[in-house]
Amino acid sequence: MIEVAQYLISRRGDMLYWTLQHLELVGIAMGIAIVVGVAVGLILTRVQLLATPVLGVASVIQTIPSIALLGIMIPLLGIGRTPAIVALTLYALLPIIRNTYTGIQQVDPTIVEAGRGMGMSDRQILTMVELPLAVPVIIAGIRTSTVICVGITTLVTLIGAGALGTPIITGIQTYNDAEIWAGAAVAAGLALLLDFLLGRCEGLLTPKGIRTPA
Amino acid sequence: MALIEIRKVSKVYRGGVDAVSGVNLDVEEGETLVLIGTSGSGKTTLMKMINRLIEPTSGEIRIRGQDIGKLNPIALRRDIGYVIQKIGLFPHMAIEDNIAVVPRLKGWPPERRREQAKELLAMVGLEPDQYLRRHPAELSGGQQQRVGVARALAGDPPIILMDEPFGALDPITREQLQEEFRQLKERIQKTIIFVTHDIFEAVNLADRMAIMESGRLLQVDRPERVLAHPADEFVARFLGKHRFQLEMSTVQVRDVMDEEAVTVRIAGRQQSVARAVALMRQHRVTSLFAVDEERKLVGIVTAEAVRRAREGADLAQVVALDVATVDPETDLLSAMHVMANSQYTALPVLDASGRVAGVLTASSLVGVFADGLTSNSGTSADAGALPGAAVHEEAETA
Repeated sequence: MIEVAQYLISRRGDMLYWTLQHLELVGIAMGIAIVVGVAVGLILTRVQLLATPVLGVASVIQTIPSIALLGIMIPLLGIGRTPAIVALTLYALLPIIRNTYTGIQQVDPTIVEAGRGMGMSDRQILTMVELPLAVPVIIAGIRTSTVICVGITTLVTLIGAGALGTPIITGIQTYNDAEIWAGAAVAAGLALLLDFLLGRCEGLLTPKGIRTPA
Repeated sequence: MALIEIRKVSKVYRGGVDAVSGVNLDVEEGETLVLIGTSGSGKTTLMKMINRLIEPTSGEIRIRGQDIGKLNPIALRRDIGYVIQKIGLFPHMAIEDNIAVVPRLKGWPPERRREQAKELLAMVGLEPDQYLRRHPAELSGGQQQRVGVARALAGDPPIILMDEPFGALDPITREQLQEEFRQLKERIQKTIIFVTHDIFEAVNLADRMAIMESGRLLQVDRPERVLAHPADEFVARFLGKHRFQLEMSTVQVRDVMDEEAVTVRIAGRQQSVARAVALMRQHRVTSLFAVDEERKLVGIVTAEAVRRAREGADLAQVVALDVATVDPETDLLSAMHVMANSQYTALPVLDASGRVAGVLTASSLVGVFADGLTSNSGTSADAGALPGAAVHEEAETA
């Protein structure tokens, strides 16, 4: 423990740099994944035929070992930030697509019919009824993705994209336990913190009438 | 010209199922037309073609002479209120916002929306200050459907479609909402198309009822006329074993009661038991209603009670106060239930101010059954003129 603390203090500049790098990669990948994932999820609810194949492909991507996916990126996009962000985005997509799709599918059809019968347009049904009711499920998907993404970002150092994997890999190569622990602890802390913050968002964005008392 | 004209409308679903075939129907402005049939009879399909949630395969529906197939369906729906069986309130919106959905879609300013939401909530019997900001999950099923009805009225649509609106409620709440709805529809003067499979509900609420089976209209008429003259075998079978009860429910107590109720005034005057005996003998009845100086009911004096009393006793001491009563507007079916549960054979009929307006006895009912009631005349007004109606006999109540 003391060694870990000593490492964190002596290398605080590097640690801060890696942490920010980590946050930046997660932030960019999640930003893209949320926009693309929610959009794809919405399209799937409108074009049901696509739902099975698209969710299937996303699931397959999820099953590729993350180290392998990073490796596959090298011949296509080289090394560094770009292939790292692409790989992270691909991983983050599935839970968001799936939860957006199921979140909207599970809205009670009688409520949708009530909206249609009262003269809502398709767009109004989506924005006034379906999306607000699907918010908790969509955000749950985003939370899952974020936690996965923070974890996988510790591996992108292998293709030269830095972040909190750097002290971990170095520690493994130099038999420096404290260095491994320091990187792991900060990455884990980051995952918990982001999950907590997103949980608060979920509470704020969930419409009052459908909140379940915690 | 009728407000809604349905002309040769058919709906064939994929797979060739004829949901509705060749229906012609006029719905007059201000009437409540109840579409009734078994499930799969096409009644809901027919209703949903009016707000174009379902498009007809062929035929035409006109509202105020205008073919709705040529109108923008979204604008059309904003002028047609819609209540569904599963209530379908938006769980994420407060009651106020639920009610104000159509006004909001129509672009009404917020103050006007709120004003109307309050008005409508009060109209369906919910205290606005208490409920405006609540959410649907905090309300009981009956309260939710009251909001559902208020929501359908918002935005002042001239036409309201109701798809088995009370079907999901427990029997007691359902009856209560039906009664409220009956009063409400008199007040709002809307054209209402009401779908149900409950024949009692149909007879109770309809100005006219339209009976559907296998996508066709079998009969369209006032409930009492359908009951008296079923168009064919199927309609008769559909009314089935409840037909008698249904006929009873279309007759009011006022139509059959005996207005010559025998009363004895007890308040402010000393009356002897002997006087009661004399009155019973004179009118050949076995019970009298004790009333005050304004002819308001105090209780009932039975021959049985008189016989047990001391000679020369004060009549006030033998009056039984636990007597059940009915209104002139009570339907005969309910009145028969009251009578069956009453220990007295004469049921006092009280007007709005509590005065004795007449009496209902087993013999009034016998006369009604013997007359075959509405079957001959189509109206029930003459059914109450019974020979010797002043005689109240001790008899088994129905």
